[in-house]
Amino acid sequence: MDTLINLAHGFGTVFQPLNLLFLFVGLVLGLLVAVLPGLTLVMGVVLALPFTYGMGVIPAVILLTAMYVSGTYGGAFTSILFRIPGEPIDVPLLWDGYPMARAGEPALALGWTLFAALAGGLVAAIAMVFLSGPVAVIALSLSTPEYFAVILLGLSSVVALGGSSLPKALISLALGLLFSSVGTDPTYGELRFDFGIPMLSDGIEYLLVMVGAYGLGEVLTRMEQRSKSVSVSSVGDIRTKLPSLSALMDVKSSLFRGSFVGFLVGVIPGAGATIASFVSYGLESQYGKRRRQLGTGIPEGIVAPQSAATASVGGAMVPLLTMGIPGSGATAIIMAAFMLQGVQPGPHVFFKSGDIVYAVFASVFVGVIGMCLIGYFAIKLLVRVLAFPEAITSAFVVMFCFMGAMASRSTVGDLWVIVSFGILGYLFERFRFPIAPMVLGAILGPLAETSFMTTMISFSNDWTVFFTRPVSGAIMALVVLALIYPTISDWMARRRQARRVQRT
Amino acid sequence: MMILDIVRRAAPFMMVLGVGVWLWTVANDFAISTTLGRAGPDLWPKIILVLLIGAALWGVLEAALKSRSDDDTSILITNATRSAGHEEDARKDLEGDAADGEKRPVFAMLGIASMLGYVAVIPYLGFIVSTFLLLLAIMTFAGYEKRLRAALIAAIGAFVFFIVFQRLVYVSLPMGAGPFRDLTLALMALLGVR
Repeated sequence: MDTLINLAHGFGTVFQPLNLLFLFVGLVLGLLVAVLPGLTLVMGVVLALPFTYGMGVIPAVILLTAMYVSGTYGGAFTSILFRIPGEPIDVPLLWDGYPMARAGEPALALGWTLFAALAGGLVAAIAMVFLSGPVAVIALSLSTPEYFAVILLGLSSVVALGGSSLPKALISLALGLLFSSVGTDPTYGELRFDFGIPMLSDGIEYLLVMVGAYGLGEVLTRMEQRSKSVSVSSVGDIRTKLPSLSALMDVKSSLFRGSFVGFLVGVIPGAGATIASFVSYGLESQYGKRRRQLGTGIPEGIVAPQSAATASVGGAMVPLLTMGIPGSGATAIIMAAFMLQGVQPGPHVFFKSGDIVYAVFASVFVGVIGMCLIGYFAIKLLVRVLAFPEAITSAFVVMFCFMGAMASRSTVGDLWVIVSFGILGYLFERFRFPIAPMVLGAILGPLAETSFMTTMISFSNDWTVFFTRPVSGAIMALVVLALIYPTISDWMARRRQARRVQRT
Repeated sequence: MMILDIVRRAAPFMMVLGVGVWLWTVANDFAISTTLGRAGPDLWPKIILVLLIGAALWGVLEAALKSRSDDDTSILITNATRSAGHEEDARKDLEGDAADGEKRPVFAMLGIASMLGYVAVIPYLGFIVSTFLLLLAIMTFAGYEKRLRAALIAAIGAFVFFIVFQRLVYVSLPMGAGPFRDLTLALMALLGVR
């Protein structure tokens, strides 16, 4: 009952004119970045972050959450209509959404996407509200060894699920953690890795790591690829046609499976909307009623990935708001928005500042409905954005990144730092190192170090405590499992393939 | 040819390895350090450095022993697309532009040079002129071919950013030196900023 009352208060907060305005702006921006060539969802959320400096914590988080929610939906338009996925999230939509559009039903394909995003987003939002309380209660009972183990589990699953090259992901994570250790040590006050440069003695702001690596790095990568501009001459006829009620009933199992899988995948750190969308499509191909027809343009092939992608947002909010563990690039930026306002998300904030948490919850509900309304009525305008020259977007993205750097401490010195991270981000893309572990390492590094050092001091430097206490020991076992899972899974798949080849 | 390929794949890991070892020596020189029975400020960075060096060594070994580069797709995506029979499609679609056209690193280098140049000249040329030049340079190197329109967009963009910084974000911007300082002051007067 308390949960529902708190949620009602949350809705009250979201419906305040200023918060509602930021929610609307966030939804439009999220849809735009998902469509605009040269911009990605995470990049868009990063670029919006500096604008939240002067806001309160609630409007700031509402703005970014709205961007995150609608960013999982906007790319569907271009995937279905032009076979151009706005984000990797939208790739599975190419396999049934685009064929349905080619078969003369583009409006219906867009209608299925809208329905899936709406239903998946709302189902996950309900699950998020009711699951968060119990998770926060558990999180509150954790002491420092357990908390360190939880952070480690979050970081290791990001490493394990981000990509299949484990050494590259580990290097990315280690670099992020190292960047966070630059400056004055929190326990002893000792200067570390400052190399006599005064600016480094204050540490490296995680904001610069994020904006540089995601923003400037991506621009440099796109400059190297020199993408071509897209023609959207046939925009005139675009509209959305909602499916009939009987057709909706036919896909209800795909919808529930997609929403459930999306939510669950969202909860796991490291596995965001993209993985949710692919896994849901994969499950549909195994357990769906019409699995043999997948790939020919059937609604299940649209509903499964889209419902999972939007549902993953609700899932990702659970570890962020209850434990302070962001599981993806976008949630890492939302966490950064909290921290810039002096709020450290986690169980204490969950119980002591429920107004903030429930406002975020309510913003997910309102955001899901709002994005569908905007998507329905403004689809022609949104799709036209696809023709905007990428070169102009790139130039302005660079300036927005610099603006973010200058606005944080007003020093030109920070510009050198951000450009350095931009170059590093570019090199990461060039040599196929994942960026997300580095960003998460930079954000969670201080938290991980503090809980590690506190444990060491409290338990007389006995490191075995992480393994001998039942809860932290169990979580550590999961850490090991997360790290060996990709290797074992890959090995098993190869064995299966070899057997198949032998048989034939 | 094969050795060259191994060296090419191992090079980034070798570089990381070198950086890791160097940082280890730096961590050894911290004034307070870990001693028997007491964790010092070097303990946490050294644990991370062990991870970094270990991962770099693993990468070098993998480059030397494996005949192919790993596919960078998440294992969950690989498994899902494999079961759906879309493994190859997914790889192509996820690669997107990167798979379509040839890579031209020279434009990325020009982009880097523009950004570094911007930071270097901004104290002398001031915000407005430097920003105009940066916007123009990025648009040009990113492939925008309408030069006059690019210059116009860069000029409007620089002015808009100047207004945003001065009137909305309230950040003090580099004013430049000599005539560039006069230009900045004139614009500030125009906007009513003291």
